[in-house]
Amino acid sequence: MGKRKTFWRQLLMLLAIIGPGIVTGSVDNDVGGITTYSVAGAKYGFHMLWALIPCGIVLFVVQEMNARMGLVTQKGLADLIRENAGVKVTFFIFIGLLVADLANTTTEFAGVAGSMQVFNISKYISVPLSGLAVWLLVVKGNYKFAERIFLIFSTFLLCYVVSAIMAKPDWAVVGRAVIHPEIVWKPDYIAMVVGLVGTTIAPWMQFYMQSAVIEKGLKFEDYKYTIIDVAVGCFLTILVAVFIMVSCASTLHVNHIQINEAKDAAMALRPLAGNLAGTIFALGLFVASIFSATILPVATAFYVCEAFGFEAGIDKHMGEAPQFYALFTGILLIGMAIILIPNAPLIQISVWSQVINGILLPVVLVCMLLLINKKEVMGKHVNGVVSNAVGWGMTAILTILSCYLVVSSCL
Amino acid sequence: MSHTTSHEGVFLSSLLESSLELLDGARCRIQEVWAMDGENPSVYAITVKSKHALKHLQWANIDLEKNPSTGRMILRCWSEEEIDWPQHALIALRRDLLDQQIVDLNGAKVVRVNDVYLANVGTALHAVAVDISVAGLIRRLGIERPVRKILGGKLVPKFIPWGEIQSFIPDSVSICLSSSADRLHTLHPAELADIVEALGNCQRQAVMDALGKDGAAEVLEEMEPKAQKEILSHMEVGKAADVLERMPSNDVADILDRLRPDKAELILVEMEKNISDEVRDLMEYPDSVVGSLMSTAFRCFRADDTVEHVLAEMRRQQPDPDEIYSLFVVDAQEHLTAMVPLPALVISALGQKLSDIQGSNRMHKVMDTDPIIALVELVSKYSLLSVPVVDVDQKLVGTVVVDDVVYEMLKAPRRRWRAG
Repeated sequence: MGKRKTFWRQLLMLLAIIGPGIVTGSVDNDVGGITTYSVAGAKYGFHMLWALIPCGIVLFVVQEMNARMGLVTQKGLADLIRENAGVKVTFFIFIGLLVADLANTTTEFAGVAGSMQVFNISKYISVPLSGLAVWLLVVKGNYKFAERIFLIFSTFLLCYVVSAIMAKPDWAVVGRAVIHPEIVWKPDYIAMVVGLVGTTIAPWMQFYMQSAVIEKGLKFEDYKYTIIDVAVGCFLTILVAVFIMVSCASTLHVNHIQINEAKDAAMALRPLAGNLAGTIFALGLFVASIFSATILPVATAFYVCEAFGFEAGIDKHMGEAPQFYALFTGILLIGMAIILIPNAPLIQISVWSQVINGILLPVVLVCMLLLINKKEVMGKHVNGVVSNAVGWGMTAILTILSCYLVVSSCL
Repeated sequence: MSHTTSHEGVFLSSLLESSLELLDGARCRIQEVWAMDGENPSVYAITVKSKHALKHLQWANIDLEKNPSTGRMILRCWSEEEIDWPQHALIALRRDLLDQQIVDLNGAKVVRVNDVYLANVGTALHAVAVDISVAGLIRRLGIERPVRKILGGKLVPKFIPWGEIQSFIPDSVSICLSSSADRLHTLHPAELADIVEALGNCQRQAVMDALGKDGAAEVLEEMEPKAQKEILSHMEVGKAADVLERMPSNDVADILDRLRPDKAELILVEMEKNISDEVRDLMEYPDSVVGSLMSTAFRCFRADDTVEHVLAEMRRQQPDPDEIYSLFVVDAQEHLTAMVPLPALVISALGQKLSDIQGSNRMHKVMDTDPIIALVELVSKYSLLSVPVVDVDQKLVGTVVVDDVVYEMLKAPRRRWRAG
């Protein structure tokens, strides 16, 4: 009986602490993610699924480090970088982050436009309306409340599971492809793998994760529950990715349909897997887009202000934190404006946003690894041998892959 | 010993950018600038990195020249004698100050140090102000000249004088809170609360410790609910109980309501029994009724008490101004019978009894289970400063002062939003 009681007690504790990892995981499956998974599935069938396993491991290792840094220092990653690396490094990281997030926000609005086009709503209506809604929500409304609503909405992402099952894949083939994938050593295949890693581990998420842990008011005593939270978040992220890939692979790839955008997948799914599957796919895309289009500009504006010592926060008035609101509004407006340019090269924009993410990621990871090994910052909670081996190893591999991606997209 | 040739000061950043010429002509980078703690800390030593090792050189043995055409600084040392310094009395300007968060006591907000201004005073270099401006950022990036060309004179530093800053470096002994916490006490608790809210959790605990229990209680009372919750959940249970005991019970009940129930219970157990019992009673009230808002600290007297007795009693007890907007008259069974406004008491003769001066008008009161909106209407309709709260037996159980009502009204739109 006693044992049972402690089990329930622990479960309750876990539920109270859970959140940051799962929210971060949900934000991770944004338009960039859904697009990359769909395209990968359509192009390479089940033979790209294996890559999600190392993705998941790397995601977990990185987020565990973020959570630990947050718990020990009680400071955001932007704060830590500024205080330890000085102005110059901070400046270049944040210029990079600003540009990357601007591109990412643009991609999110592309997702809004695309998913609404599936329902025959013009982008000239859907994008300004959703942009206005996002702005009002953040400036006039209650952002924390909205974030919670979004979290509930993000269970909508599980509709990709439904979409995948309705596509009736041959699960035996799926299993075999995971264990014995046909890896093709061609540049575009490698680029796709890099794209997968890059979209799963976006640089701005590191900042978001660490702030979320602090925001939640967690302490180091909560470490073991936080780890479970991070693990569950990573697992869900990868799970959704697997099902998106499976649903595209078992319909589009089999019928040799090539796609470039996530909305193409939704369109193409309709005749192949039924109207409902396509509609569900498009709805999932819309929710993910709005979710990330809200969080990305707010988060970016917040980190930039944090690093450079401007007042920031959605609980401040516009007069109190002018830089914060100017940045937020600017990112939102520019993102929307780019999408509304007639014949905007949306695919190019999303490719470039991934390239910038790719350049930034190793820099952020190196900063993180240096910080987490610093005794003055982490005390006795510096990285162990295993974490360091995995951390530096993956940073090296990601650097090489990112260099490859950057060079190949510039050529 | 000839120090700077020009009499203007230097920025820490440009000092750290320049190199130092050793006796053998070798150049090395300056790693750290140490200053002796004081009203305006004077530069005492620098750490340079030569080929082999770090050297700690005395500032008195260094000449500083500014090249007038390039504006670059040249440092030469004429003795490489290293010194054993009293580390505990020194501030590492780069490690402890540059890029860190400090508090601008004048503006009552948290800012980040972009640069430190060192001025020539007599023969020594003193840290006199910190630069928190964008100009400071641009200087640090090394692009001051081109930016200045474009912007012209618009690039002005914003300085905070040394005396008006407060640093929050827990490890640094020199400018840590304990030695200069008095400066914090010059701020109003509400301003301090704003500052503390802007800090990270570790820094928050450091400030709360430095304020002492009474100060911490005052500041905690002024904070936003979210920050209150965060601070208490990071505070050791015993300390939290000590601080909360010094706050009004109605505020304590509000705060504990928002904590995790197990944590709230731990704190309540640690608190003194009579206080925690009162808080527990208040926590029973739902958020929407007057009981959740009322303060249980009030003064009540008997109808046959004389004005003299009442005034003497108040001088002895030294109550908060909040508690004596009105005095309440109760009978032997603690039933509320009348109310005496403070002005009426002040203008009455010492020998008069409360029953003589109590208003004959209808007394405005509310029940602890009344909805808050009824209270708000009552207060605004009759312009009341405080309202007595009675329970179902007409016993006086608490009071509500106008501040609490205003706070509640400020809070209300948010709550409505949430409900909608």
